[in-house]
Amino acid sequence: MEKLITFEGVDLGYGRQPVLKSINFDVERGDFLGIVGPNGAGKTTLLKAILGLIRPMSGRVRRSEDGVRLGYVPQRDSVDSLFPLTVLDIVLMGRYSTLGPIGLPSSGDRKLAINALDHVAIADLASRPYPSLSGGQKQRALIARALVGEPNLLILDEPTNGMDLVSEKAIMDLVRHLHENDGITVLMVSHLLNTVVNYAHRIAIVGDGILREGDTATMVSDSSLSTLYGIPVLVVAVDGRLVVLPGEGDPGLAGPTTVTVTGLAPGDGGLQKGGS
Amino acid sequence: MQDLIEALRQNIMGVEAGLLVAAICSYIGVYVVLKRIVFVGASLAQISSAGVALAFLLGLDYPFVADHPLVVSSVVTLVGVLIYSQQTLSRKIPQESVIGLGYLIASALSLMFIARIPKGEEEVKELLQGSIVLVQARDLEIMVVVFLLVAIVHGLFYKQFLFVSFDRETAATQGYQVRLWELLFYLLLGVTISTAIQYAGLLSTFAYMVIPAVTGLLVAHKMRTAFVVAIVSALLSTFIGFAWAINSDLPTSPPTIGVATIIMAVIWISRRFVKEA
Repeated sequence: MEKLITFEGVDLGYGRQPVLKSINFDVERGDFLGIVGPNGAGKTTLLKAILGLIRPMSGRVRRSEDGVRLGYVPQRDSVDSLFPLTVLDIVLMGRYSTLGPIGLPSSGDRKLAINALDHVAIADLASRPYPSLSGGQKQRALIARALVGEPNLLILDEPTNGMDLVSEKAIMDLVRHLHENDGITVLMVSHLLNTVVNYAHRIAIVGDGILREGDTATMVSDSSLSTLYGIPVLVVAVDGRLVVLPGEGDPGLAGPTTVTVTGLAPGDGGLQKGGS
Repeated sequence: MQDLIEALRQNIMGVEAGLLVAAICSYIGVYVVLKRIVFVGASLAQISSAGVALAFLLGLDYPFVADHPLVVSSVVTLVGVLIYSQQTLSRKIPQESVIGLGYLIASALSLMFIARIPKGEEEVKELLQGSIVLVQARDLEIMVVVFLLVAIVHGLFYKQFLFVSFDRETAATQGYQVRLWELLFYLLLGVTISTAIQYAGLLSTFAYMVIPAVTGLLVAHKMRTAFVVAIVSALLSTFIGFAWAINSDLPTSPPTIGVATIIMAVIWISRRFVKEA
């Protein structure tokens, strides 16, 4: 499998202060990789290194020689809603890097932008002011902007943060569709464990200054998440989907003994003990 | 009406200068308001004024310097630009505090320089109010060259300035040198402010940066509309404000600012009525 991005013994941090040490991992073509971890663990730092926005303190971050076309979807809140821009204006920004220093978007670029909006099912909103959109619609517009550059690696930063259940599912189904049907490699950073574990094939867990990665089924276990978050954590399967539940008590105890699940009988919902 | 037109005609160079300052400042003002750096604009204007005062002070010993206050003002303003264009000077001090410090220091220095200049109070008054109706043909030429240059750079690199201002992180992932574009933006802002202040004064320059831009952003759903409304309202304020000032023997700044504010208020109130309807 072709490696799009490779981290070789990378230390990351700011100034002289390291945040993550000795990172070795790859983003392979066809991956659906989720990066998770507690707040302040270094997810954003790792993301910035992948995007090339910060340099490693030591080690090397390599990109595939065949070329990596990054499509970046930032957090919705980091995009300024004060600017009087239409949805189409914003999607066209995804074409800017192809236009040369003083070139302006052509009718061909506009057509590509409309196609990208159509792909994320909001072509009818092209002329609407971006600030007037709902959270889910804004997220789709930002995904369309990333897609219009025809990326082979789509990177999403907290794509479902602050969304209701319906919008969250719609966005994640869209991302899955892009991965499965369009063959786009997906890398997603999120603190929402329950979202990531049900979509990503591989998980990279950031915590305690290090990064551990592997298949989702291997990485998402009671013990690993309890250690990471410092509280008892239970991973169960409901109707074939993983659910991560926090509990009370001493994380040092073997197993999340104080976690209880109410309102769901094992026979009714297919509740099963999950993880490893 | 005929008298007003005649009054404007007799001060045609001043009116032309006012229209030039109005057009360029209101255009850049849209970015200033959107980037939430209005106080940077105010602070740079104050720094530029300190530069003018410094030129007058140095001119006591070196008359050549007093003849070219724009050069001194531009150099001093560019130092401010270099400082403000750094996104984070210190993790412990918020950027707005650095801008506030710059404003305070520049204000204090202006007062100190002017206190040492004979007829200093008159200089202060002129600096604040401007003396745009007294501009000469040479001044107009300088303004045309400087402002045209700023407008051309902004026009050519519109998409870079827009993308970096709107979403700097994504722009960086697309290969844009964000710091470089920010620096260029601030340099153009500094050059515009120092040139405008030289002729239009501190109050008018700052007002042209803020009020028309807010008017434009109140009505616009597109950047182009925001620019057009901002520029048109600034030009209209200049025409009416200058006519009012000349007819009533007032300095140009207060009537111009008054008209610009009335236009903004009318649009704001009418928008509220439209929304409620």
